[in-house]
Amino acid sequence: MTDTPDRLVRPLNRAARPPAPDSPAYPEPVLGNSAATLMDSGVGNCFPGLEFDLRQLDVRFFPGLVFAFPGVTPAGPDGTQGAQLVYADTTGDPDFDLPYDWVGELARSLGGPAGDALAEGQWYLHAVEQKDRRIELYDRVVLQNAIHLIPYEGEIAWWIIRLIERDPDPALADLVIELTRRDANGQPAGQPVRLRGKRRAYLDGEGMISQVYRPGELTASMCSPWTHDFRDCACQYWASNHPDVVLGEVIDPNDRGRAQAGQADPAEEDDPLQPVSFLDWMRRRTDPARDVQAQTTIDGARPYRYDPYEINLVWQELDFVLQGQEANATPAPDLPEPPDAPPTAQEVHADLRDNLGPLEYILALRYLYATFSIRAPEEIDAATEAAWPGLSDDLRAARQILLSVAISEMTHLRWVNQMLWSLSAALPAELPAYRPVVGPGLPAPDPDPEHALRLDRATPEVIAEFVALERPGGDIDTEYAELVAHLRDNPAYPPGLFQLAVRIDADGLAHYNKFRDIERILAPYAARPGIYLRDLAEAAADDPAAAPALALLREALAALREGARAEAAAARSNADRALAEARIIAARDRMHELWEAGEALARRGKGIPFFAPLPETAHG
Amino acid sequence: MTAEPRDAAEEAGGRVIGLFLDPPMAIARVGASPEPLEAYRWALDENPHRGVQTRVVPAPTLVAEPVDVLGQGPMRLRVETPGHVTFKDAEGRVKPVAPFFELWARVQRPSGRIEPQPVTAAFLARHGSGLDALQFTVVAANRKAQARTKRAADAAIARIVFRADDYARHMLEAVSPHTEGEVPLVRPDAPLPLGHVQTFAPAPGTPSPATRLDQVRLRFTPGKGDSFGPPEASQAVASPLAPGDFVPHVTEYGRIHQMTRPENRILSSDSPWLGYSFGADDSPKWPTPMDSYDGARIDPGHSWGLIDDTCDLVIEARVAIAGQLLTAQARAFAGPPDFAPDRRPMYSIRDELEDRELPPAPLDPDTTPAEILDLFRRIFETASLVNLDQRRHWALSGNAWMHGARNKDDPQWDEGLAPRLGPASMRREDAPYADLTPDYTPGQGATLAPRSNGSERLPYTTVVQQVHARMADSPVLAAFLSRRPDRVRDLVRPPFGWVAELPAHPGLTPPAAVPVGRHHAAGHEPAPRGPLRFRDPRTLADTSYDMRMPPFMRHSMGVPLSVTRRQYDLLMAYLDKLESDPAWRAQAAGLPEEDA
Repeated sequence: MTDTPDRLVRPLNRAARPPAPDSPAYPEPVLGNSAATLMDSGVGNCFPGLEFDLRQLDVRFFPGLVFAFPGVTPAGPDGTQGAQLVYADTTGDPDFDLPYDWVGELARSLGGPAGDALAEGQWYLHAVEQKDRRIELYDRVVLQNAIHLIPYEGEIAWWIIRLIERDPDPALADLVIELTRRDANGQPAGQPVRLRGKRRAYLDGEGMISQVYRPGELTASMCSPWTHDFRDCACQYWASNHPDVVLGEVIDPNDRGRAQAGQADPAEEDDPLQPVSFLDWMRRRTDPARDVQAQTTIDGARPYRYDPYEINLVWQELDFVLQGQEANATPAPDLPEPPDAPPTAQEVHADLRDNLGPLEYILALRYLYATFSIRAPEEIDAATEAAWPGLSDDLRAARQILLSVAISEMTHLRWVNQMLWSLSAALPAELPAYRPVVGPGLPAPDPDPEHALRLDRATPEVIAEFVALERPGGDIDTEYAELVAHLRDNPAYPPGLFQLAVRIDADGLAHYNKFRDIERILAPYAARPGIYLRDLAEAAADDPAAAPALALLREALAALREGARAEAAAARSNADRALAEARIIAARDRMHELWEAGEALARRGKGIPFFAPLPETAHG
Repeated sequence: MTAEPRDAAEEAGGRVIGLFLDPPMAIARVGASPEPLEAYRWALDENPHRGVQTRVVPAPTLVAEPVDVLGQGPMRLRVETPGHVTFKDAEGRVKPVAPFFELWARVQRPSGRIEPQPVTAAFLARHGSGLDALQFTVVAANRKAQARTKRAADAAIARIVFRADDYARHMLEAVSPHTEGEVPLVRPDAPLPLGHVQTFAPAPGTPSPATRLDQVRLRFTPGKGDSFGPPEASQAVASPLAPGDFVPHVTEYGRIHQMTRPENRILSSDSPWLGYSFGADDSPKWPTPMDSYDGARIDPGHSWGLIDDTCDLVIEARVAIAGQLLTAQARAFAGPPDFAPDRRPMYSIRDELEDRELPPAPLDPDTTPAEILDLFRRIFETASLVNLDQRRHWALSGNAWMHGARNKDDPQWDEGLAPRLGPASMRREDAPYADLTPDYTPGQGATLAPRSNGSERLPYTTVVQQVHARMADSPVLAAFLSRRPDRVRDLVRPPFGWVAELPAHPGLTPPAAVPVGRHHAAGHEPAPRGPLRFRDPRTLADTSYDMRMPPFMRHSMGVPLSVTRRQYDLLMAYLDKLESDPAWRAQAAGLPEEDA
């Protein structure tokens, strides 16, 4: 239970277990109730909301008064917009049972002259005062040497009320409001009424919204019928309950549980190429266009979506979405992974340092090189575009996807380093001190194909090789899955460290799908790869044209190394934290310059010889 | 809530000082299936191939079954954990979420200690009462039409009273209150079905301390999610325009649809709700948005007179014990299904209520990292289903309109503004805010809608998913927040200031500064930087959409969304600590305490 000075906010649900840094507890509903019954499952920003309209709380923000917040119509402001007083009445308002001086004063005021005044004519909230700050609900405009007050519309008036603080001392009346009537021009007129009080406590001592809100009041302002909002609202703020987009079917050869539940078939070697597509969740399920890619604009999406009125009767066609994909039932539990002999900490450390770290580096640069080998859309002349419609778009897409995988591999390299320094810190007596791994590793006399320092253009064969490299169930995936098990099951390691390996492994699936996507995008040109490939050849290591790019690479790697070393020590030193930040930013700046330099070279047919000997590339 | 089993002597002692229902508020979710949805919980999925993310897992479910083998009479509950949660039934109907409310008593022991006790028949008997003296009153209402027409006779209200041992299904049949001569929207002879409530007979056998199937429970099952209207609301041409746009009264271009089932055309035609128009007499109206009903999209915005079978309701339990009347209340809301049950809102109803009611969250090395991690996990979960490309296009187009840009596609119309509000938003020109997105989308120029075709997917949506999936991982998040605190400060959109932090008149002075560094460790000198300010809802600059997080999403009343003030303050305080206090960083990195 959470005790607060003026009331007891009983938790709307309880945690099942105490939170730990790596694993926050999920709220637990009572026996028999779903998580979907919890206030945690509903969207709290509302215009007007899905489960109920939280703005309705502010209608009664001041005890004894009820407000409305009209905006303006298309005809423009007419002077009646803002916070209108609907009525003043203390009857049935439990706040007037509170035993504080201000409550009595307010009751006497509303029962006396102030109440009498407020009963006549239309009153508006004029100003709120809290902590010596007075905010008037008007915009001030100078017109012909006179001040003209334009009432804020309901939206702004509501926000100002929403921003009133509630002091935890229930006896402290720290809020003054002022009400006025208005003349025909919307100008405040007549004697104002000032009331002193306090913003209402919206929750009672049991954690329920105060009884002053009558049944039906909290949903009164919502759309009618609810399906109108579900389809028609331009808000899209509620994706957690009402997705904008879902993933089309994603192939995951590892996902045996899902396959067992009949939701997806495991990918076979001869799977047809399946795009990783986003589908518009609100698409009409009966329309032939239902499987068309989600659109980039609302106007573009409109024809494919359910219509107003139609949705009222067919909303149950909408699919539930689990882990981003449409599925109307939870999958079967995961089957246990086959047990392997657990590796030792030394083996894990060595594998990260000598195998996985260099591998991430090599892949990042191989993918980057392949990106440089694809022509930029602006290099396509009109005649070629006319002969190959859609070529420019395909090039942009392929380059973008390939580059995103390259950047992702650089991120993985960073995470491998984080795992290394975390392991060394956890087992200082057993493992060597941390040294950054930012390079292709020590040259091996007979490297395995994955570690080969090759730079290739993105020919169909090379893309197929990339698909194979990242394939779930392949060598890389298997190694990370084993690493996850090792890190998770060893209490000596920082809790949650295994999540780094989980993330890399999960990204591998994404990379696999992205490469399959590139295969599909470039498939129409497979017979004539010259259509999409630059005439690119790796520059010689001593080619002066490549020297600036290599210098940038060297500087970037030096900054990464220095940044990683500092970050490993940052948990003990503010100076190292600041240094890590500065060096990582510097490394990013150099990488941006490297991208520009690489593009310029590639347009001239030269590829950066990324694996040319660089000083200090091996293990720092 | 579970109660510790106690011996009979202990249970017999004490006085009852109050009742309460648990939960105090619950959301019900509509569905036309007669089978309620199985219970499920959120759990962490750590499958290496899918990444760390929230999933839903089946939970102990209370299944109602007849006490009598013939299937007649009262129902009782048994506990069953299903193998799967199936969200629709065999006929494709959505299963409703029908919450239970447990009745508890607060009992003061002779020692003075106050503890919760489940209210059961035996409990009531010990205190001289019984189930037949325990009364429930449930009042449910749908006031959507009333809120527009300002006429009580357009409300639909159901009120039922029953004893706890009356195990029948009590239908919430709503009618419109009215006086002689007034036309009720919902006629008494054709009530609006808002669902039903039910209590259950105690299960036989010895009660289990974990499940207490002898405890008094009330279940609310909501309506089907249907629309109801007058006979006129049969079929009509739907506006073919995008949400928020209005079509002139030329209606032959849209598709024609039925809007209610024939059997649901039971409302009065003579209520002003049929034909109501938000634009009538040009005076502004509440609630807003004013066009939030069927019929509003086609000029002149005449309502088709539709309401639905959703509602909110108050449940009250009353019993007299030892000469005192004890009561307990709870609320339920009938809302739409949660169609993405494993994706949680980053800004939930709970967050909003806590922001309004609670003092700032305490900064605590034992709890704050978990709270922030949970926030970022929820951010990912919401972001993973957002079409950011559409959001960006919508928001930047709106900016151009608000700022009077002559050409919304001109990448320079907002030159000099930071963050950028036009097509350069989230592009390299939007420094220092844009950083990763331009890296990942080098082929995208400064355009409102991305250059995209069938191959390219949704470039901005793809990036947000990729970047935020990482932030859901504990070590990645902790390292990022430690390494780049200033980046996070710049990138997270500040909430609006409290009244006392806003200038008396907007524009003359800026709102109060975000107190960066307030929670720095002693002796730490922050690097000089420009002050971050809370936002002011009265200014155009602070209500324009930019790429700060959450990007391009909409808050209450249609302004750019921020996290709550309470979430923001905690995040800023945490960044201070991570920036300045090695002990906090060591803890975030999971290093042994002695090393810190």
